[in-house]
Amino acid sequence: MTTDESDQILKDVFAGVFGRPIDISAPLTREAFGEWDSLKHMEIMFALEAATGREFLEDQIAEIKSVDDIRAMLRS
Amino acid sequence: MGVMSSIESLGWQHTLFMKRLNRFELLKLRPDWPCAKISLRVYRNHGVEQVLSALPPFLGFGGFIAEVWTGDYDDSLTFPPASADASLVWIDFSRYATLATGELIDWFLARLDALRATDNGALIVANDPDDTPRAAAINQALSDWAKRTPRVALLGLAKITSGLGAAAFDARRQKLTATRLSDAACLEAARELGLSVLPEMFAPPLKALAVDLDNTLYSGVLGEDGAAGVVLTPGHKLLQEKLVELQSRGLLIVIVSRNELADVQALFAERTDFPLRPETVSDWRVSWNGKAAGIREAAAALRISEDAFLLIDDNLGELTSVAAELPRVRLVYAAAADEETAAALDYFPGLSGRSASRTDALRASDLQANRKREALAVTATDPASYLKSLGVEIVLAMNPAEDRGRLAEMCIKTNQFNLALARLDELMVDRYLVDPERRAVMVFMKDRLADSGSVAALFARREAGVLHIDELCISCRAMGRHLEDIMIAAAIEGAVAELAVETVRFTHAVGPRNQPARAWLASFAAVDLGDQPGHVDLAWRQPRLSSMLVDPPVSIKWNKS
Repeated sequence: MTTDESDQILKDVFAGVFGRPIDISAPLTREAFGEWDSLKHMEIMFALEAATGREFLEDQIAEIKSVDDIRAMLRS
Repeated sequence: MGVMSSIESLGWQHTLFMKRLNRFELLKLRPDWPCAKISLRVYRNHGVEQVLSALPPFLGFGGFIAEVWTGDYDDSLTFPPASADASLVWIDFSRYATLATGELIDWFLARLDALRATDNGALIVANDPDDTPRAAAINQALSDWAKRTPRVALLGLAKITSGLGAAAFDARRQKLTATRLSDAACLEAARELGLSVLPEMFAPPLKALAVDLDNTLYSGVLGEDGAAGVVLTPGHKLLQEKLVELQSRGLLIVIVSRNELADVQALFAERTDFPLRPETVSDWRVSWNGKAAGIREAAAALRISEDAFLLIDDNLGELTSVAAELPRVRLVYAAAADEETAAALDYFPGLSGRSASRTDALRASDLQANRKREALAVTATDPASYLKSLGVEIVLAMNPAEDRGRLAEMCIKTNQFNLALARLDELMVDRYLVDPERRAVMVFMKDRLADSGSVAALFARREAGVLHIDELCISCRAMGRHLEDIMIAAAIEGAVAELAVETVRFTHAVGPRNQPARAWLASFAAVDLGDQPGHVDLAWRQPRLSSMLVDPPVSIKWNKS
């Protein structure tokens, strides 16, 4: 998956989960973005699994703190 | 739903009706058309967010949006004093391992009864998803409770987990999601809730399926390929079988096709391999006119509203045209991957949760008999001889608690002969069934041509020595048989006798379609109702009214059981 492809998926997932377009080009962290709570986090993870056909490990899911972490996970 | 939204929603079918749901694809679907709001309160002891987050596309497809309040995790199931359009009880029964099965059932049903007693909205209870004898006992008790309790529906988690097998649970992620259920199970629960349970409670009912022929019911074009040349593919066979199943559950099947009628008749005569047989079709609208015209004509012939139709067609142009002319007709696009069309009928709002009542099962044959009745009426010399020739039997039942659901259904669904438009739901109907100052009367009818089942309902209340008729409704199927006076007089006579009153007061409302009920009251009471809602008082013991039940041309009996 190219960076462009994974970024498009990320954009679609974040827009769907939060109900509006989210700028994922800027550094975006769970700590700074209050709406990104633990339940939204799981929704994001399940949607990413559905989009990519991959299954993430529970440890990986728990360790994600930012959009950059997700990008790294998708690249791995 | 408007034209564009109807057409736009067709593009959602593939995602909503696919065998294995995909959360990423679902996230992309958000209705941009006006949706009716349903307030939903959730009482839970485990994670429900995965279900609720997937709910909007399913609800939006049927024109609804949920405004959700979710309670804290609460094993004790306490209910704050509040009400909503609907409440969902979402309980993980495995958290009560220390309770014996019987103890758990008794406690849980007592909590549900407490909720029912204080909450006037619809109640939805998710059943036990486990495949164990304990879960089976819980689910049986829940099912029995739901049958005897008004305005209740079960969310069938057991069926969902049975279908998903091992994929239904995800213990590894329970710490993250706060539920044992997997994401796949949560998506299925959202689909069940959004396409089946909630629309069944809040959406206008579907009564008829208008079905195109060429490339919808089979592959090919009848006018070009001939009856022998059109192909019944496995997907089309599945669709036809589904239509037959829905017909047996009370849906009326109407063929709406641009073809020659003689060709279509020859097709069904020749193609005995078609699961859909001519006798299962309630109406044929085969002509070169538009499909909207066909639906309008079928609606008139079947005495139902055009809004109660679902059109199934492979031609987007036809679907668009019908959406433009009849925007409230619901649509299914019969896509080329035709197994999806049958799947669409499995899940379509208003179809998926539909259970066959006795009345549903009788509807199609009764409507077909109406044509014969109309022919008899033309040749009959007078109304009495017409009714005698039909051998009409009217059976009345006072406070039939077992018919509570049907009584409410008649109040909610009848539009033309609905005098007060009180729209009594099951909870309100219950008051008439149990209050000694109130009565509910159900009227059943049959004749030598067909059994019509329950056709009328009357709700009466004694107050200050007067019998108030709070609601009076008659099914469209039973109208036009010149039996309204007799049915209603017999029902009122039963209530008058039990409650010992002499004056009857009718409440009448003005609605967009209830002119037939108002016209009946004006004639029955010999008064001018004008164009405003109001009341009409009648002294019941007067010769004109009493004579209606003396030597009637029909048989009248009370069901005493």
